[in-house]
Amino acid sequence: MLRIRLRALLAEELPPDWVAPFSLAPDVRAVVARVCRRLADEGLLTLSWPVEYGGGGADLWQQTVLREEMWAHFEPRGPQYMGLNWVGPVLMEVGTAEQRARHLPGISSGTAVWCQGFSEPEAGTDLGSLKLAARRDGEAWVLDGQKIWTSYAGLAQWCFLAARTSRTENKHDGITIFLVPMDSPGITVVPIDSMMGEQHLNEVFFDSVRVGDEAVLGEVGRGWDVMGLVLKHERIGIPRYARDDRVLCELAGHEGLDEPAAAAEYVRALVHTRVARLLSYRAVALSEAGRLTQQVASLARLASIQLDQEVAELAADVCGAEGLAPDPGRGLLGHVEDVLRYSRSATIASGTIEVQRLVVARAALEGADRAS
Amino acid sequence: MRREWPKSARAYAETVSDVLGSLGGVEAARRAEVEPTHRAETVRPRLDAIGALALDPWGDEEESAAAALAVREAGRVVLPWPLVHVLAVPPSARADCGGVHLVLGECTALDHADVLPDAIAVDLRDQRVFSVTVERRRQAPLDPFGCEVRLVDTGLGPPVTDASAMHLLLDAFWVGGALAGAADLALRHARERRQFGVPIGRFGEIRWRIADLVLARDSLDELARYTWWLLRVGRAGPADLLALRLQMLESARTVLANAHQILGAMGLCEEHDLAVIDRHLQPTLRRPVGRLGTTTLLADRIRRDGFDALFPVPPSPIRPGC
Repeated sequence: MLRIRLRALLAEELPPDWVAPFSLAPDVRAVVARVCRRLADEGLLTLSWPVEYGGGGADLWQQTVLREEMWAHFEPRGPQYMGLNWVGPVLMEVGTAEQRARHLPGISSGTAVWCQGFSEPEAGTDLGSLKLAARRDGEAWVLDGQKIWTSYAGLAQWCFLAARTSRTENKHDGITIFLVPMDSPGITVVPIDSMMGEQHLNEVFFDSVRVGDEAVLGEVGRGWDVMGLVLKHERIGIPRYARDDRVLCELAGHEGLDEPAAAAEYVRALVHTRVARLLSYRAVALSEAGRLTQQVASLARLASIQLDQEVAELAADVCGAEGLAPDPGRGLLGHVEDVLRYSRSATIASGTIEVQRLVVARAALEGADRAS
Repeated sequence: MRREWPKSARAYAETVSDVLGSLGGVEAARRAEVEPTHRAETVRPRLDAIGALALDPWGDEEESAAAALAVREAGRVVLPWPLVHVLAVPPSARADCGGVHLVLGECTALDHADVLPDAIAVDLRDQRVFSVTVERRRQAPLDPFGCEVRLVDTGLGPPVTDASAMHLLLDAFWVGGALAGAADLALRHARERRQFGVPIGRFGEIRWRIADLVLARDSLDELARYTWWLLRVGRAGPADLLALRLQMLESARTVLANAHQILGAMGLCEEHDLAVIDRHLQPTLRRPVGRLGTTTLLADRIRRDGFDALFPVPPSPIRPGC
């Protein structure tokens, strides 16, 4: 059984109190490299990829198990999840033969790190307003502008960059995707000090960065469609409930649950975790049947992201002031402060909770909300 | 778990829906409140005619699903007949027992007790069984078919093994139907009601409420479907059924509060179906125990049995005495 196999593998490879993949620290990077190598050796790193690209051809349910176990164990693939989950699959769909040959081996072996260059200071949720410019100069494209909130930018060798190649009435037209080497002259990465920890958030500046046509992914000016493919692969979202499930399991028997109020919140959180998982499974099932709607995907996300904050608050309350500082000797419960800090981003990252609610409401008002 | 309900069950649910529509939908609940005999004289025969009162929720997959979906359709119009109480009696015991009520500790009133012959009550905590004697009807806005009753302890055991589990499961389908009805009313109003020159569904605050309402509705639907499957494969323990009840109560609270807020004063009027759905749903939400009491029961049960999950919670996660 895949879940048992993954847990055994992770138990062997991860330090007992592993919680932090967002880091430049050599020991953290060594763990990520070791886990990726082991997963690659056992054919698990590209489990979800099609067989023709050297993957395991796993069905959606096996992919779900893999994602659950990785997230529950604090994503030990580190920055690799991005390349594996959507950069690789999008390259398979719209990349040229040369692009696939150049990039897929690095992703499938867990050696290439990618970052996503979408958000800008003036284009967050409203991605269509992005301004970073790509202009033609002879045989080259010249990139000028800024990206922000870019995770892993300081570690990445490649950036999956959305840039504006023309301005049209429809702001979604005229966007082009570029695959940009992060060691290109003119790129500057500035880490943003945040409560999330190092490498989580960065600014990336592009100052007359030159790339060739081989860097263009898909058609020039049709980048919005490519971004749609990215979102398709990320639609159901992170299985946050899996980590929450693990946190609740670890909390079992904690003296902080002696308080009746805490015990009540604890059992409610258990129920909410089960419900979030079921809503996510509904999305997986409908996706498998080719009937996944944006609303069903957003409902799964809504349940999951709110759960993340509910469980983090509960864990912090139960552990009390002792939990304010990391305590490496206590396993997961020694890192409740990390769980709480990270949960703050749940309703912001990858589409804010407001956007998810609007998607759900719009579909409901259009009478299209009973797709299940 | 297969997500799709059997085709035959879905077709049967449509039949039930048509029959309830011919009774006037929610209007039947209004009428029965004014004219209590409407329940036995009109509603019951119509259910009997389509075999709804003979369904076996423990039967094969198609019949069990048909029972769950029939209850959901009945809940959608807060049908003035205790269908859940009837179907929760195992078929082998139905000749001797007309219905089963769930209670918790002392109980002086039950809904629809006056129309259920030879009914019994089962205590949710210890499964003790009581005979039910009706003293008199006790009609109240939030307990429209309430009756004062006297319970006499008849001891443990048959003939109603598993009745409380099935009651808890079917209650969730009943409430799920009612909440779906309430949600539809709120959505229609948000589309049609215009303020400041536009449908109120254009306003962010209304959309926010709609999203929360839909999430609460679907959360219950998914957990009810999953728990139905757990019960069928013999894996539903008391904690699973209490978890379903807790979600049912939380979903009801969210859906009803947001539906009322979207409908405004209109939804408070007796001529509007939302007011009737809300009032008539209350007995199911409060008997045998409401949200706080259900939470306590669930905590007790998880302490004893643990809770199944991706990372299963072992028994005694909450230490004894708290």
